[in-house]
Amino acid sequence: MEIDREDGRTPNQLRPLACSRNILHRPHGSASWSQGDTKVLAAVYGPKAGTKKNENAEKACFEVIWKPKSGQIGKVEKEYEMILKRTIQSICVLTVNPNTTTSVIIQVVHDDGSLLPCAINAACAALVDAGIPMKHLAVAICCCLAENGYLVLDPNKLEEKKMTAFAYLVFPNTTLSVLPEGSSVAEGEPVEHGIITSITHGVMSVDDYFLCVENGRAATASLSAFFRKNFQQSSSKAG
Amino acid sequence: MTTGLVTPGDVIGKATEFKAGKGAYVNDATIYASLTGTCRIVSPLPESIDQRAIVEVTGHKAHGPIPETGSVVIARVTKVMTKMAAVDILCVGSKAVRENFAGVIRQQDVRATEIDKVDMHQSFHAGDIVRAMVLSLGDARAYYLSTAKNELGVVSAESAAGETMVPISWTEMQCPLSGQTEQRKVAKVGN
Repeated sequence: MEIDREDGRTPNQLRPLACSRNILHRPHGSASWSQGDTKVLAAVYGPKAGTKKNENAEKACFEVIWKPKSGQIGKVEKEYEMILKRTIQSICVLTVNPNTTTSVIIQVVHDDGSLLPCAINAACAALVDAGIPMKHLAVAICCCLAENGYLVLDPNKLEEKKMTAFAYLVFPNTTLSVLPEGSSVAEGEPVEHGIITSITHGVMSVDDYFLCVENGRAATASLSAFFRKNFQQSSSKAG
Repeated sequence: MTTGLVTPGDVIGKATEFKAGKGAYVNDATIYASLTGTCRIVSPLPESIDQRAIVEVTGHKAHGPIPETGSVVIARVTKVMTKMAAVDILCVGSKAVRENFAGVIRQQDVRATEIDKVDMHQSFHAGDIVRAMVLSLGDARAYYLSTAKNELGVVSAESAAGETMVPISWTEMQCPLSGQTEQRKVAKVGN
C-alpha cells in the first residue's frame, strides 16, 4: 500500500544523508552524521591505557558517553549508551588492542526522529576515522509501524509520535570481495545476511517485525553505498 | 600490487593463499579488511618459514602505538619503591605513544640473576630513562615490564649536579662534572 508522508517521501525512502569525517582536531577520530534534520556529532578518543573495573583486561574495552542537546542525561540516554556500547563491541576487533579503553562521545546536535540509528551511524564513521580495527561497518535504520498497519522507514519526530510501534535495526554493511587475481572465491554466507542489533518499542506482530527487518535490510544497501562513497571522497581528498 | 578502497568487512583474500597483515583479520579461512584504506600484497621475507604473501590494508589514519607483550619500550621512572618502580611509557619501539601508558618494574624483573638481592633504589632513580620489555598486560592499571637482559635497563640518568651521567660498568654511572658515581641497572649500549 503506497502512502503519502507529510514530507512527500515514499514509505521506504530515507531522508537526505550527509556525513563529514575528521571535523574535530583533539579527538583521534570524529564524524558528523545527519539524516534530514537529525544531526549527531561523534568523537573517538583512544585506545587509552587500562580498562574499567568490570571489563575484561584481555580485550579492548569501549565506553560510550551520550551528551544530550540540552539538560541532564536521563534513563533513555543511559539506555542509548548501553545499546551503542554493545553494538560497537560486536563490530570491533577486540583482540587487537587488549587492556585499552576507547571512548566514544555522542553529541546530539538536533533531534528530528530516528536519533539512535543516526548516532550509531555517526559512531561507526568516527571509529573508521580513528583507525579502530573493525570486523565490518554497521548501518542502522529505524522502521515504524502505523496504526493502520503500514510500514515507514527513517521517520521524523512527527511521524514517530503517531506510530504504534517501531524497531531500531542495525545490520552489517554490504561488503565487497576484492580478492586478488587468481585467488579462489570465498564461500560461506555473506556477512550482511546477519543482524547486529534489534530494539523494538510498542506492540507488533511477528510478521510485522520480519517485514520491518526485510524493509530495513533492503534500505541498508543505499546506506552502505553512501558510507563507501563518503570514504572514497575522504581518501581522494587526503591523497 | 594494490587495489581500490576497501572498508571493514570486505573480503581481501583466502587464508590458504595469504597471511593477514596490518589492517586485516582472519575468520573461517577468509581474510577480511579491518580498516578503511587500500589493499596491497607484500612479498614474504626470503628467510621467512611461511612463504605466503602478506595481504594488508594501508593508507588509513593510524592510532598511536600500543604496548604489546614482547615489545621493547622506552619509559621514564616516576617513583621507586622497595618492591617495584613505577614508570611512564614514552615510546613503543621507535614510535612515541599518543596516550599515557603506565608501567611497573617489579623487583624480580630487574635482572636475571640474584633476583632476591635486588635493591630497587640501587637500580633506578626517579627521572631515569629506561629501556624495558613488556612482560604482560599486568592489571588494569599498569603493564608489567622487565629489564632482565643486558641490553635493557637505564639508558639515561641525571646526577645530583644535574648533568647526564655516563655508564662506567653494568651497575654504575658517573657524573662527568663531579666524578661522583651512582648505582644503576645499566643497559648495554649497542655499537
